[in-house]
Amino acid sequence: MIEILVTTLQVSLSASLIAFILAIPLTLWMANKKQSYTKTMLMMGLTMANSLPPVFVGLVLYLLFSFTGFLKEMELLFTRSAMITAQIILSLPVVVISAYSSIRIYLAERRNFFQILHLTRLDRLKITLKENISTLQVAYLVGLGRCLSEVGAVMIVGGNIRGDTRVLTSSIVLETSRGNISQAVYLGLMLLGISVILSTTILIFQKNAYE
Amino acid sequence: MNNSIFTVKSLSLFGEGGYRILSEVTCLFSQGGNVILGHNGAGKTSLLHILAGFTKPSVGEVYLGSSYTNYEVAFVFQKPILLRRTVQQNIDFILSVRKNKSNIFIPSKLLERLDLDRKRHNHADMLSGGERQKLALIMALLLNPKILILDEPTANIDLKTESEVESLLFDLKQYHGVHIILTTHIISQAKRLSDNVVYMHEGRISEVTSGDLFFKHPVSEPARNYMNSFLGTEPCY
Repeated sequence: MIEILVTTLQVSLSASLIAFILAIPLTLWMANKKQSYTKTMLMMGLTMANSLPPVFVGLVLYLLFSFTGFLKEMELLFTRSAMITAQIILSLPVVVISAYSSIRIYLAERRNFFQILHLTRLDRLKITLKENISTLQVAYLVGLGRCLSEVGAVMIVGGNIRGDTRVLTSSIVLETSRGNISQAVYLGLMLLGISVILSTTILIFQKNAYE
Repeated sequence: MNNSIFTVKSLSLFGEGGYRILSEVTCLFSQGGNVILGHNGAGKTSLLHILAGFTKPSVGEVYLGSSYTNYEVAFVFQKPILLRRTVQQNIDFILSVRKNKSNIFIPSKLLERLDLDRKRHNHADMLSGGERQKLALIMALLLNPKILILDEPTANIDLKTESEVESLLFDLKQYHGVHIILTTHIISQAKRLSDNVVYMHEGRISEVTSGDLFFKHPVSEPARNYMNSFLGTEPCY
């Protein structure tokens, strides 16, 4: 049981962290850029990706990583790396969309202010990150939430292998299908516990941001 | 020419779809107090933004007076822009990033004068509109500007705060050698702070004259109509 919990946290924390690291520069670039065709297309793509069905992402990755797939040389199928890859794809748009509006408004309001202070790009970047830390924290936690709650993709590309790629969500599906309801409920409560901790943390960050 | 802080030559600005915001604006902003008057939508803010370098003109040139550098220009926005920090932290931030480090204005004196010294540990988001505007003015002054551009700095604030800000601006102009370019709709304020008046109408300059002359006898038709619109609301000309 503990092993499943540890695997869940390892996979989801790694995926959400990598997604967050990739999302920050993308969000800042988009928030800083004036309206253009590229930006509109990117925004449309991210909005669509925000609601991507996890099983579809899992299926695409399965086809890519499988023995006849384009990326078969990487030998990622049924590994934690494949699960992390799937969760990065699913959580990256969520993180960008969560942080984008707030940072865009922040930068739009302060563009002239920063200019009159003759701040360098690096200074602007540092201030923007510092002043929007709560927004970014919340965006990260939303991304982590997406990773933790996802089941379709990790089952397809992870294979739900005991002691290796089995996570809480895929275990719940397995135990329920076996008719082992008490075990499934127990695992569900563990997942719920993580979810409650996550939601509470988001609320605390949002409260701090407001104050 | 040596007396000028800004020289604007044949400046035009087009908005989206070719809409003309400023049209063939040519004028000279002199040392002292320059007040830009005009109805809403006349192009006052657009002109200020071009002077400050925020917006590039579509056509024409803007020259900063040869005695000044860009680092000596500060701007006070109509909607005050502050950082999401306390009053003191906002001030500390300006002191750390400003290019001209000389201590012409002392933060504590400015806070005291504008009655903000008791609020220095308050978060900027918790200040009233007037207090935010006063803090924005203090932050602009801590940049040690020789030229201060203000876009309706006393719009939407109470009479007491308006009077405090106006007195400070008058002292800056009169005793500290800070040259001011200001837009306002408050005629008494314009009279007190203006050595020169630029009157704008529909993106064009319809009159440039001294403050004394303008408030006694506005020459152009739009300027006369504008001044007449204040008759009965406050002493005019």
